[in-house]
Amino acid sequence: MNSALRDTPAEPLSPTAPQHAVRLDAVRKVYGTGEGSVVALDDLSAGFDSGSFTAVMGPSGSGKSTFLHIAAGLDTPTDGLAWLGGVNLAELNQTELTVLRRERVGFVFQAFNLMPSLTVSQNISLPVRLGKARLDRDWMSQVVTRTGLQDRLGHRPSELSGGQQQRVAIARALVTRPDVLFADEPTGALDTRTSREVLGLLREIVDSTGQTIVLVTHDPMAAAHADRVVFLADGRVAGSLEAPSADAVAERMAHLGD
Amino acid sequence: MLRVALQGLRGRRGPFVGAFVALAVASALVVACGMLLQAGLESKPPVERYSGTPIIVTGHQKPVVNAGTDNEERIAVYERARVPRSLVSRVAAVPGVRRAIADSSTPATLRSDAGTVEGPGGHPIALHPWETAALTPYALQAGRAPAAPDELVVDAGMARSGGLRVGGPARLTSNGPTRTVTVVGIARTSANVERQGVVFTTAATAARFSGLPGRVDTIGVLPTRGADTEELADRLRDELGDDAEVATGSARGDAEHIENAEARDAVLAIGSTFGGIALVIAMFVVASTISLSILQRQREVALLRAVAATPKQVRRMIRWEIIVVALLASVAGVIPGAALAGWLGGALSDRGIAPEDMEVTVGAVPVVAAVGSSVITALIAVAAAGRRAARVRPTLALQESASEPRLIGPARLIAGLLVAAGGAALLAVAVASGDSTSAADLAAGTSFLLVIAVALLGPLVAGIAASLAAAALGRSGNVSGFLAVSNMRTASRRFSSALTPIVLTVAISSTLVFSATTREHAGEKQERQRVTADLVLQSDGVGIPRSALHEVRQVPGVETAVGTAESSLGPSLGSVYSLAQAVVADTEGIDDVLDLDVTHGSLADLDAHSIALSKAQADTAGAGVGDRVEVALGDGTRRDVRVAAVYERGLGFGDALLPTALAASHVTNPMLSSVLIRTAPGASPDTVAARLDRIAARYPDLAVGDRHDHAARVDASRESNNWLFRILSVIIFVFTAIAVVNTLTMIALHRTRELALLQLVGGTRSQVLAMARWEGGMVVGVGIAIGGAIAVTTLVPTSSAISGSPVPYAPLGVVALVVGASAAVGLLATQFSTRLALRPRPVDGIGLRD
Repeated sequence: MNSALRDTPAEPLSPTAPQHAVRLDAVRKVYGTGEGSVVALDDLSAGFDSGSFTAVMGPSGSGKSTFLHIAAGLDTPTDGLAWLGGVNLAELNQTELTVLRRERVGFVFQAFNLMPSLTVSQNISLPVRLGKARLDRDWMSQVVTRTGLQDRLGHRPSELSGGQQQRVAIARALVTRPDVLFADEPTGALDTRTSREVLGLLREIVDSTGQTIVLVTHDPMAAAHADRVVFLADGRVAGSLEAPSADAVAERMAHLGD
Repeated sequence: MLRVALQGLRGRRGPFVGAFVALAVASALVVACGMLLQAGLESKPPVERYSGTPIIVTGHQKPVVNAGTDNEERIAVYERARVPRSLVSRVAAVPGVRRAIADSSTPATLRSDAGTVEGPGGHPIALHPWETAALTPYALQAGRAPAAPDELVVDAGMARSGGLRVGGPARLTSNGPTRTVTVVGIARTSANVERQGVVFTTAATAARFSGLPGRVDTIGVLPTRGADTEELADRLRDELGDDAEVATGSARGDAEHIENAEARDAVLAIGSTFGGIALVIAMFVVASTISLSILQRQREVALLRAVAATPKQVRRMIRWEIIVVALLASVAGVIPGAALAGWLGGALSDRGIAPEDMEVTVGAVPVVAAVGSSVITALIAVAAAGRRAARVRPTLALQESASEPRLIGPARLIAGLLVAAGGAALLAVAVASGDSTSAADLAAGTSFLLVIAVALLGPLVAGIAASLAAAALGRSGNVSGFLAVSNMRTASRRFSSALTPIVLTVAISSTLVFSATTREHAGEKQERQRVTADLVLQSDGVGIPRSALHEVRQVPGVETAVGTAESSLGPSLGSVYSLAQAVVADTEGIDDVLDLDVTHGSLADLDAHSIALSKAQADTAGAGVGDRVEVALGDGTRRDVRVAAVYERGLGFGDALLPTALAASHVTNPMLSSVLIRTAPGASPDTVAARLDRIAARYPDLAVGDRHDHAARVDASRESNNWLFRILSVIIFVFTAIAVVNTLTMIALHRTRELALLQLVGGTRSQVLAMARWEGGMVVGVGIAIGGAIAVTTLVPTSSAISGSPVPYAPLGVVALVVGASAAVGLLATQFSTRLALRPRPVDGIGLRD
C-alpha cells in the first residue's frame, strides 16, 4: 500500500526547512469523545514543497477536508504538529492564527466564498483591508488581469456566474501573495468547461509566479492539472502519484483501500 | 400538512425562537391588561356595616342616562346621593318592616392620650348615629349607649389599638371645632368591618355633624321575622317609586362603599387605554417579527419549491407552523401576564387608585383574547409575507449569493404612504379638537401610525439612511466601518427590519413620556398662576369645617375667605362615561383669590343658578356664556343652570366651578378642602397668619400656609398619577425593548455564515465584533433619529393643544434617559447576539445552512 513517498523523510526534517510551504507531522484529529468519537485523521504526515501544485484526493470520509482545515490553521490537531511557512501553528493563539492566515494563506471554498454586500473589487481586496496593510495596486491589477475580471470589478456577487464567482475567490486568495493557496473542491459546482478554465488558471499561476497550491478534490480530471497527487484513505496517506494523468488517478482511486 | 409542519418544527427549533418570543411576550401583555380590566369590572366592595341588614334604601347612586333611548344605561356617580329623612317613616310603614334606621356618615379624627386613633388597617374613621349599631349588628361590650352630645361609643378594635377606655376622654374633630368627648361605651361585632373605623354618637349629634340634618345617607331596613327579603324589597320599591333605590345582596356593598365607583372607573380607564396601546403594539411586533422570520427562511422555502411544492402548499405549511408556534407561545405568555396583572393590580390598590378589594384572577376571557389576537395577528402576517415568500423562484435554493428582492414593492409603498397620511389626519383631528385630554390620548395613536408607515416604507428609508452614512464615513480607512456600511447599503431589508423595533421603542416611549411631562408641567404652571390668594388654609386631616371658615372671616385683616371643596360632576355636559372633576367654591370674592384666566363672562356673575366651565368642557358641552344647560351635580341631582363664565386654567383644577349655594349639599364630605384668603390692603400677611394660627388651636388639623404651600400639596397629591404613568411607560418600554433584542438576535444569528466567511478570509473576532458595533451604532443612531422625529412631529401639536405652547416640556434628563436606554438596549443586543453568532467555529459556520 505504501509506496515510497518522496516527502516522508527517514528522520524528521528540521521544521524550518525552507522548501516545505506546508508540513504535517503525525497529525491525529478526533472529533467527539467516548463512544461517539470519530477519528478523522490518523497519524498523517505530509509535506508540500514551495512552488508545487499538489492535489489531495480520497473518497468521502477519507479526511481530506479535515486535513485541509488543519493545514490552513482553521482547526487544531488532537495530536501531532502542523507547520505553515515554517511556523508551528500550535504556538499561535486564535488572533495570531487569523493574522497568519490573512497574510500567508489563501483559501477558496467550493461555495459561498464572497461577501454578498461587497463588489468584486472590494471582495478581492478584503484581506488586505482587514490587515490594514497597503494594497499593492500593481499586483492587484495583475491578479485581476490573470483572473480575467477586468470588466467585472464593480459588480456584486449576485450578478456573477458561478465560474466568475470562483475566479473572484481565487483572485482574493492571491492578492496577499500567500505562502500557500488552499482550494477545497473549487470546481465542484461548475460545469466542465468552466472547471477547466478555473483549473487552467490555477496551473498558470503556479507556473508563472511560483505560487504553492494545495487542491482538495475528488475529480480525477482536476487532479490531473497538478504536479503530484496525494491519496488519503481512512485518515492516512495512502500513496501518491507524480505527473498524474486523469486515467492513472482514476485507476488509483478505484483501488484505494485494497 | 399539520404533521409535516409539526415535524418540521421539532427538527428545526432555531428559526422559530424569535417568533415564539415575540408572540409569548405580546400574549403576556394582552393577558395582563385583560385581567386588569376584568378585575376592575368584577370588583364588588364587601358588605361590612350592613352585614345584618338584608335591605338598604339608598338614593340614585347609579342614575339613568339617555333615558328612553336605545343607549339607556346607568352610570355610577361619585358623591353620596342622599335621601330625605321623611322617607324613614314611609319605609317603616311598609308591612314586613320591623325597623327602618337612618344612617349618616361623617368623617372624623379621634385623638386619645396615646395619639391619633386609627381605624382598622389605618382606614379613616366616620361618625354614625347609635341606632345604626343594629344594622351590623354591633353589641355593647362595655359601658352604655351615648345619650349626650359629647358621648361616644367606639368599636372594640379601635379602642384597643387607640388606648381608649370606658369613661376615658378623647378629642373629636369632625365638622366643627375640636371638642373633648367621653367614651361611654365600647361595642363589638362578629361581622368583618375592616375598611372603616366606626364611632357612634347620638342621632341628633350625628345629624348635626353631617351638616344636612334633613337628609340621610341610607336607610337600613330590618325585616320582621319570617318576612321574605325579595318580596319585601319589591314592596318597598313599589312604595318608594322614583324617590329612592332599594338594594339587596351584594348591591349593599356598593351602597356602603361609594368610593369604590371612582376607583373602579379609574381601573377601567387605565386598563382600556393601556390595554389598547399594548394590544396594538403587541400586534405590530408580532406581525413584523413573523414577517422577518419568513424572510429569513427564503432559502428553505426555495428548496421546498425546488422539490416541487406548489406555492399554495408552501403557504399552507408555513401557516400551520405559525399557528402551532402562536398557540404554544401565547399559552406560554399567560403565566407571566397573570403575574404582571397581579402585581400591577396590587400596586394600584395599595396606592388607592384601584378599588381596595379588587382581586385579579385568571379568567378565561383575557386568556382567550390573548391567544386569539396572537393567532389572528400571526395569520395576517403570514398571509401578507407568506404570499411573497411562496412565490420565490426554486432556483434561489441553488444560488449562492442570495440577493435581496427589489427595494420596495408598489403595494408596500402605497400602503406606507396611506398609513402616513392617516397618521397626519389623526394628528390634525387631535389638534383641532382643542381638548387637551383627547389630544394627549390621540398622540400615542398618531405616533403609532407613523411608526407603521416607517415600517412599511422601511427599506426605502434604510437605503437613504445608509447612503447618507456612507457619504459621512467617506473614505475612512476603518475596515470594520466600511464593511458595516456596505452591509447596510445592500441589505436594506435587513437593516429596515432591525430599524423598525428601535423606531417603535423611541417613538412610542417618547410620545407617552413627554406628552405626560408636558401635561404635568402645564398643570403645575397653571396651578401656580391660578391661586392668587395671600394665605391658604389646608387640612392635614379630614377637611376644614365651615365653622372654621366663619371664624376666619371674623379675623381682622382678612378681607376675603373663599372655601373650596373638591367634587365631581354627574354624567352631563357631554361627559357621560368619564365624569368631570369639579370644584365647589364660595362665589363671594372668588375673583380675589383665584385667577382662572376667564376668557368669557365673569366669575363675579356666579350665583346659585349658574356655573363656570373650563374651555374644554364648554367645547364638549357645546355651550357658551349665557347658555342654559342641564348639569348633573356630583350626586346625580340634575339642575338647570346658566353658564356664567368660561375659563382657560382648568388643568389640575376642575372642568367646572360650582357655587356653594348650588352644590354644597350634594357632596359626600361636608367639609372643605381649602380656604383661600385675601388679606386686607395694609395688613401684613404674617400678622394675619399668626392670628389664624390661634384658630388652628381649635382645629388641630389646620395648616396655615401661602400659595406655594398649596401648590406643593397639589403636586404631592398628583404623585400617584405620575407614578402610575411612569410604570405604564416603563412596561411599554420594556416590551418594545424585548422586541428590539429579539429582532436583532434573529438578524445576527441569521448571519452566521457571513460572519464565518469573514473570519476565514482573515477577519479576527474583534474585527467582526467591531463591524457589529458599527452596524449596531448605525441602526441605533438612525432608529433614534427617526423615532425622535416621529415623536416630535406628534408632540408639537399635542403640546399646543395641552398648554398652548408648541414646545413640549421635555426635561433633558428624561430625554437622555429615554434615548440612552434605547441606545443601550440596541447596542447591547447587537454585541450580545453577534457573540452568539460567532460561537460556532468558522469552519463549521461556513457550512451552516440558513
